[in-house]
Amino acid sequence: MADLAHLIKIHKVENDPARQGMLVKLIAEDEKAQADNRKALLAQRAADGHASAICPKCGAESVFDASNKAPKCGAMTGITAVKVKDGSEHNIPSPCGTPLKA
Amino acid sequence: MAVTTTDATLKDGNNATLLQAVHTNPAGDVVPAFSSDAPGVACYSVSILFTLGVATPTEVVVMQGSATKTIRLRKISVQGWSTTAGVMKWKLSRRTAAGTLGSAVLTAIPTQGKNDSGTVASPTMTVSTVGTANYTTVGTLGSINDSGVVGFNLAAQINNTLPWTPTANTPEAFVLRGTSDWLTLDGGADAGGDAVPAGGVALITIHWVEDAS
Repeated sequence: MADLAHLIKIHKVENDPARQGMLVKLIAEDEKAQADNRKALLAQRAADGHASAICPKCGAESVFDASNKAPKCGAMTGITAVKVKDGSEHNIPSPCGTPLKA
Repeated sequence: MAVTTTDATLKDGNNATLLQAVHTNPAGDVVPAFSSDAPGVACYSVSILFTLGVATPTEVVVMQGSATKTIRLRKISVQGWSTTAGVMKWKLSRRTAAGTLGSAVLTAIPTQGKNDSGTVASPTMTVSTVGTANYTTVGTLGSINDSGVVGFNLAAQINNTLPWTPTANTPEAFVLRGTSDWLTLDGGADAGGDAVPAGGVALITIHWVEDAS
């Protein structure tokens, strides 16, 4: 469950058990919706012939064809410096590139 | 005299008292207080500086609907930056099938979060960028909902840096229902054939709400 103590504090309901109960109920509903959605999402991916994996380096989740033997993480976690015509240098994001396994 | 906000007392069908916030303007007119805030609605956003790694991309961003929530996309914005000036045509498309990925890899944008720190932090919609390669076959096209041109330029020329915003804070949101409902942001090959300008980076921002309707 999400950090209930934090939520109680930011909603200023420390002394309101009824509203604390409402927060607990909302969180439980959200978590169930996420779990149910996750299950449906994985079923949909399987039906589409897709697999997924979490990047061991950056934690981003990627989806790829189940037959793809060498998928790589595409999260924009890297930085590449580029030099342009006027001589100035700029940083642009680049893919994580870590090999993934389904 | 400034505008003041007070509560007007209303009665419902059972003669129970309700309070309605009203504004009183300097002329003494009393008008209902309109609120653009939506308390209790789960609002999410995601934003990425995405280096367009495929030379002439088809689908660039894939938004997949949720099995448990209805998704309403309130804002989509795409802006360009590049080391050599150029333009790209873009489309917002609805897809009714996932398509064949081939060597393409969809990576969920990991920075998505909730606008309100209220309850839990994770949305159910998945927003992914497409990397490594284009889809072998893009998803079945259901409709083209919007199209636009995005200028890519390093120089601060305002006419080249205007974002394309297929939807911007509108109540007429694009809706996604179910995990077999997709909206995609398409560039290049799938939208008229523009290659990515050299060093092209797309600045993409998406806002949406999720509810159980």
